[in-house]
Amino acid sequence: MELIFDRVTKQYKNKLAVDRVSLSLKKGVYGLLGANGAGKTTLMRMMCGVLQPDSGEILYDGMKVEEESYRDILGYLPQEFGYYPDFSAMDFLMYLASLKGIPKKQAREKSLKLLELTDLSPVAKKKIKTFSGGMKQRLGIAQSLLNNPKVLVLDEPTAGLDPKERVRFRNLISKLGSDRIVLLSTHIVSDVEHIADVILVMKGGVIIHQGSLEEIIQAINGKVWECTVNHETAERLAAQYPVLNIREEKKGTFLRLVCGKKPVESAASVEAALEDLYLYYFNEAEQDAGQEGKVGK
Amino acid sequence: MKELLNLTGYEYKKIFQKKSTWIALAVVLLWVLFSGVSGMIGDYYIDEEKADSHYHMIKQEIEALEHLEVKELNQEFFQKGQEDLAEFSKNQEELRYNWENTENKAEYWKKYYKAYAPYCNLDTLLIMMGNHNIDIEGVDGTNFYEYRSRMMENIFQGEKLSEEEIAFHEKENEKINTPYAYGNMLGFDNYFQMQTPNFIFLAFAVAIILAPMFAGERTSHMDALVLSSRYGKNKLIWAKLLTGISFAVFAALGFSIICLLEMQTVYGLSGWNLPIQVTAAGFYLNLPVNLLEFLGITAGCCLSATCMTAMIVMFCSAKMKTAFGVIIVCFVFIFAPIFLVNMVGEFRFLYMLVCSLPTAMYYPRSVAAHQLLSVGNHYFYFFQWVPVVYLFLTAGLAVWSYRSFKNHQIQ
Repeated sequence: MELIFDRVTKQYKNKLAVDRVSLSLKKGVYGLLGANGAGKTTLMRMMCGVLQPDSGEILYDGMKVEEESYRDILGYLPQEFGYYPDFSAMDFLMYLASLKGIPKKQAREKSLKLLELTDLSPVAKKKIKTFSGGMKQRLGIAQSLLNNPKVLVLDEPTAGLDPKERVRFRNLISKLGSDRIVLLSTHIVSDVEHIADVILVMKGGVIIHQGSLEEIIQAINGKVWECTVNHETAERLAAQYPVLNIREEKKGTFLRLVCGKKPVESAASVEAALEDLYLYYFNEAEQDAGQEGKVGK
Repeated sequence: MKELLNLTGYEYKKIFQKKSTWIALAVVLLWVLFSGVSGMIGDYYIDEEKADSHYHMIKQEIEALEHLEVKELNQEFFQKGQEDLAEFSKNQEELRYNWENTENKAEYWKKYYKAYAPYCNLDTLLIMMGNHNIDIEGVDGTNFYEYRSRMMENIFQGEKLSEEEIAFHEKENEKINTPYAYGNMLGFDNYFQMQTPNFIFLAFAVAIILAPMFAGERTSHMDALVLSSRYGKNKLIWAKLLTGISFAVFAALGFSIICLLEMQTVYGLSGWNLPIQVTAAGFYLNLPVNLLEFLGITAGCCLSATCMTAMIVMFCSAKMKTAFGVIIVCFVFIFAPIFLVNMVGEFRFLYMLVCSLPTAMYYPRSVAAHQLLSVGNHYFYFFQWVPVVYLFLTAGLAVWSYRSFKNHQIQ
């Protein structure tokens, strides 16, 4: 079981959304981290065969993603999860099951099971238009699992879920990752931190880091500092370095920031977390907005 | 196949879950029902005084046509008409002298119309003849067919037909049995007259209902989900196309049957074996068929035109981003031929082109228009070649729509 990205590139007019990405995904959970516009969704769409790369190819065990046999083993939750407002949750799952080629009887059993799993059984016959955002998202997750996919692509699956639902969902993904490829993108760093076996950090259409949590964090280990300084110094440091946390305290302003060297005498080096890495890279991305991802950068 | 039908079922479910579908179908149904009886609504007035109801007048005409003594449009029929009306005038002199009395006026009219009812349709035909430079004062049972031939010659000249086409139509005319069989043609005549607006309304409804077929997947953001599913890039698209075409077939057949049942109930369809030339819809045609055969021809053309409209709607839907845009484009496409047909009469090629558009096929006169398509020594009416062209066009557009949606990129 191996999904290979071979120099996959996608360009929109003058913006290079995905730039020669080469990857190899095997069984396990992959967390794709990146700011808005980093190219995560484009990469996932190409992986699901709904967007054609300009160059390069994506193969699953030698099978092209455009093929029906690949779609047969694919589960996908798009970022903008669409639905038919007048369908009930059960109808919706039955419809998608028929699109996935699942026989009716089997589809009914699977749909009921997934509705149970996503806590939607009590509203199975209610129209989707009456659902809250979280319920719709859970329905989206349920549909992606209908065909027991070998490749599961989840584009921001926890958006709109409350903390309890998120934890439940994280546990579910963890379990699913044991015998399939799961790729999920999210802005919620803790989701990736808890369940991803491999973290992929994407910036400007390029995978800039990939590895386990420990490996990834190495990039900023020893560069995260905490200090409490007066207001003027805090302002100066904030303008100079990526700030991960800022808080007003009685003694002064507390800062957590990333810096290659000790920023002030009173600063203490602390252990880096994934969120630090994310904020470090993507604060920088915001500062560089307008330059990142442009052709010929 | 099972999966295809299953997906088609879901497409129907999507269609019928939309309020717009029910509203569009209800409007067409109301229109069809109303148009069938519209001729019977209201009253007939003389000098602003009610003389009779249209309902009563039509009932009288039906009764008279159902019980004609002479059932052929021959010399005897014309003569009987003159005699009946002369007899009426003789017997009603007293009433005529008291014409100023309102009640007498109504009574006089009712009696007059009873005598006139069997010949009312013939009068319409004679007026139609008069519209083509024929002096109808001289028309009687001895020369009716000769005058009609002259009228047809005038029409052919006006339409600038080729000599071969004229010869073809003359031969066709010879195949029609004369004197024409005569009877109750009102049901068919009204059906043919209402067929055009009924089907234009239906075409608008089809555009509204089928516009979201593909475009709706984009606006509801379901496109990514369906296109990434196993059957999303093959069977689903065929299922959508099958749904659209079958919907057009069911709708066209359904509304035609409703309209026919209404005509049977209101006017009766007993005159099915009369030649089409005894109706206003067929008087200008030389097609040697009876009313039932012509009904089959026009119904077939309306069916294929509605399917063609459905296919064009789905093609636009596969190409465009929103259903609203599709509706606008298709409304223009449906509406334009109504005006264009009068503007391009001078240019034969353009005229043939406009008359072969789906909306033009809803006109009984267009399906059997005098302009023919010639292939070698063979001549074909519109109703013979247009459905064949539609068949190929539908197949071509279906493949094109299929490829468009299959290759649709989610961006």
